[in-house]
Amino acid sequence: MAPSYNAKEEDGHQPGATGHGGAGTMTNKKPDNTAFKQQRLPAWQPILTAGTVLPAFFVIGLIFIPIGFILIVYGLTLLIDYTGVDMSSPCYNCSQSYSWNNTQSCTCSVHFSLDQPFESNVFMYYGLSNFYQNHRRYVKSRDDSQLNGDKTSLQYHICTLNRCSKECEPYRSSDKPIAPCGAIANSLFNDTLELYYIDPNGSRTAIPLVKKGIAWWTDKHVKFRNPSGNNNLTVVFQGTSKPVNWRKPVFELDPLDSDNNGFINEDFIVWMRTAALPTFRKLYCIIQKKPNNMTPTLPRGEYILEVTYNYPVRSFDGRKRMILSTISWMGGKNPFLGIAYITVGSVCFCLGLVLLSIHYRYGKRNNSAEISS
Amino acid sequence: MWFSTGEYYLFCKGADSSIFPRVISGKVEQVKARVEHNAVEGLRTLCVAYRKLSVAQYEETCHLLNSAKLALQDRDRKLAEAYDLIEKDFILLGATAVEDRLQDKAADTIESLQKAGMKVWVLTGDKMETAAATCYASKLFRRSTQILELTTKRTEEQSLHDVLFDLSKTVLRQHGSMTRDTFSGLSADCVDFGLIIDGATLSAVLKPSQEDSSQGNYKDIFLEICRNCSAVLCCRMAPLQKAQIVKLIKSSPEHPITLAIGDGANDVSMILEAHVGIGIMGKEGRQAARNCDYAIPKFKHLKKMLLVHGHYYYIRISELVQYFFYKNVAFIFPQFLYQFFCGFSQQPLYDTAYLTLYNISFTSLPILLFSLIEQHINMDILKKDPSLYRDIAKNSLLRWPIFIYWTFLGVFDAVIFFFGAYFLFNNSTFTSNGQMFGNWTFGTLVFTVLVFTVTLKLALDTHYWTWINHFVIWGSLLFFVIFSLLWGGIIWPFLNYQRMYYVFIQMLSSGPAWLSIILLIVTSLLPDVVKKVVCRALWPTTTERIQNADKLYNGQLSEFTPLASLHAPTRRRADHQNPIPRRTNWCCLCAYLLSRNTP
Repeated sequence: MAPSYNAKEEDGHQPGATGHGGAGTMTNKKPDNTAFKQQRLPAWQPILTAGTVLPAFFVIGLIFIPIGFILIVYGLTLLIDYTGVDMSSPCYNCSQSYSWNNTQSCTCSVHFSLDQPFESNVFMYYGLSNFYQNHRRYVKSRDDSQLNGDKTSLQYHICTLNRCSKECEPYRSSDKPIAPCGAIANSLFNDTLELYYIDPNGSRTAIPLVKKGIAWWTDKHVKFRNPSGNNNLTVVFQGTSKPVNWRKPVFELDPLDSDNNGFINEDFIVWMRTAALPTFRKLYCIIQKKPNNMTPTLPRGEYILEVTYNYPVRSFDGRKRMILSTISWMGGKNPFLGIAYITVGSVCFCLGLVLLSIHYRYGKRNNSAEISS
Repeated sequence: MWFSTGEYYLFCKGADSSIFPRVISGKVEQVKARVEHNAVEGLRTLCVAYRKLSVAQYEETCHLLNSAKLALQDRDRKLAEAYDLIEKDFILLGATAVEDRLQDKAADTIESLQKAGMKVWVLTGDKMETAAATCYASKLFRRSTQILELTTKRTEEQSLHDVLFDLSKTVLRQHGSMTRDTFSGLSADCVDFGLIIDGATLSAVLKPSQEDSSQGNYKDIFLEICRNCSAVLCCRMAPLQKAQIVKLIKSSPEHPITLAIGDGANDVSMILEAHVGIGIMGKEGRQAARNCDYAIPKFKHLKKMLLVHGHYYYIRISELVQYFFYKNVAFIFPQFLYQFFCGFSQQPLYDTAYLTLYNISFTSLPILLFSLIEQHINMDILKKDPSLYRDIAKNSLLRWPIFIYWTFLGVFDAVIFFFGAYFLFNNSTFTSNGQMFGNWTFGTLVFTVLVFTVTLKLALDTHYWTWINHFVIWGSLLFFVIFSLLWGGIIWPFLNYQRMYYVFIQMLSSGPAWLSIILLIVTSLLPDVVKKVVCRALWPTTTERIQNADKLYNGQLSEFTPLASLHAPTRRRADHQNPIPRRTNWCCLCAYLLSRNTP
């Protein structure tokens, strides 16, 4: 049936009432003439030209370079390696004579001196290297619900019925369930470090080390909780055993301070936060600044570091270190950040100059050519 | 037809070339002259003839036809033979001529397409004279176009071989003597060629070569000639031949992208064969429109479709593809680098929530909206200046050099993120209160820098900032921050690990972390910004010049005429032996330009 001709039909408009069957009900298929559907939304159309980018480059250069200088200059840090690798080092005997079943701990003393006094709070860290706390199997090997105080993870019969986290294997239970389970807890760092200042006249004074405030506040108060039920932690942890490589069970980590015993022991919490890289440092203690701001926290002079050498690292060629550092809002001494800022700042500044020359030579030429056309 | 008087009449209509051989009487010479005259004027001609059949003849005819129709083998051949036997000894009645005016703005469309660098061919079933007249009217052939003919008329005088060689010599001689300017529309003194070929000659050219190799392969010579012609007209084309031509061009050495447009049922095979088939919803029914990739109501709509929408979609999709590879390279490469520092134990750098949501929530919406909305140049300017289309010819934005640039950018960014964070964490205290960060904080730092960098990279690439762009780009970043705060803010009971608890917030409360985030983002974005600015200043493409000019005239550029002066100077190639203008995109059109203005 030949359709009757309608001149408008070719434009795609709605045909008239006549036409092939069904055409009368055909709707107008043209899209609406709105700004969105016709792609005519109002828009800002910036262009990245030399002229627009120049100010940004100069600003970046001028801001970054001073920040870099401040970062480089500020901060003091001191690093002492006490692993005892070669024969001349003080801890050599301790590192050689290590045995797991040693009940008597080995001590060694390392002498060092400070050329510059350390002001304000001084932070003491222990550092390990070649220790892969970021190994996948190691990172998985913990039970966060157990550390949060969940009692079902501690109970013997439930634990053996596979209710404990499977990730803790094989450190989940020896004859009894292990609290805390897992490889991270098992490898807890247990060296003890003490610092003594040697007066010019030869007498030793112990420097007070504060072991509070070294873990994240949220870790200590929210994420890690001792199982509830009894103030006496010995009772609470009954029916569990200590991790294989520990010398003391978890409720004897700090028997004198109940706020630092059990799972909420700050050293333990710091250790449980697995480090990102194989060479890392963890906060050991804080040396508070003196109440009167006149004397520096650590004056210039000779010091002795007394190490109770419990932690074996020679078997995997690791190293142990003690680090003293001052911290500001910009962090500890970080030469890399400072150098990076200076580099990027100066590169930006140079690029700004280059772009300025380009803009003058070519920008004017482009603009004038277009205006004259 | 059976008249009441008992006689049978057979009426037949058709093209003059098929009717005249079968006619035995009638005013043949006069009609022939008239038909020629009509054709030259551009009218479409048909001839009508009749024949009287007696009853016996009629019976015989029916019988012949039936047996042919019912034949089990070679039905087509038997039918053709039967028709041949029946359709003879006609008496000529006369001829008809239909004036088919060109569609609205057809000439303008064709001219724009040629300026855009596309080669336009016309494939039609009409006579040569009619088609040639139409082509002149639609500006396919200009006054300065030198017409080369490869028609039956010429091949009757010379052998096909000789004709082909003659023509190729003509085109190549012209071509070699001057450097070819790709602006075929703008230089008036450059002689361009137009080729006319008809169906019979084409089948001779395409016939596979015989045993004697002296005949050679005509296809290559034919393509060579066509390559140097600005327009080609193929007349007297059977539908199958139209498809054959498209196939021939598709298989030519440069593998161009072909587009076929038609409005009748006889165009369907060509539409299906070409890369892009466009059907015009015409008066002849909807066959073409049903079989095509895109259907448009009129021929003139092709211009906006290709030059505006096609251009936009290409820009958008090339950015989409490149950006997706880039952001995923930048995402996974730090993870790969981390393996060198975690004992190759497959420890993930980022938390699983981040791994899952990166491509779904944090970086998906900005690029999605970019590829729906982006307009690098105003629509009116694109329509006004078709040569802007040449900037994207030959798939220029998805070629290897550009892809390698984007991948290199992704790798560079990843290296900056990871090693930046690595050297900052290594052997230093990264917090403002002396406490230490763990591996999840390290990963979160890298991830934060990553999300901000890739989103800001897209922001720098966006030319057309509507409110939607603002919403999705800043919204995505805000969503990332809010998600991280929520994810780490609560001890989620359904999780059996709590490793992300408070990690993000602790990271943000450390001064060095902020300093390093800012530093790493700036460092990652720096090379791309510098490259963009320097390239725009020193070697601007036509697109960029137009963008600059548009900015200068505050969006009123389309009203100022001389856009041609803004074009980037075509770089003269050092080697003139390469005759193929590499930046043209062949486009084969069957322009059924003619509107059926009469029923």
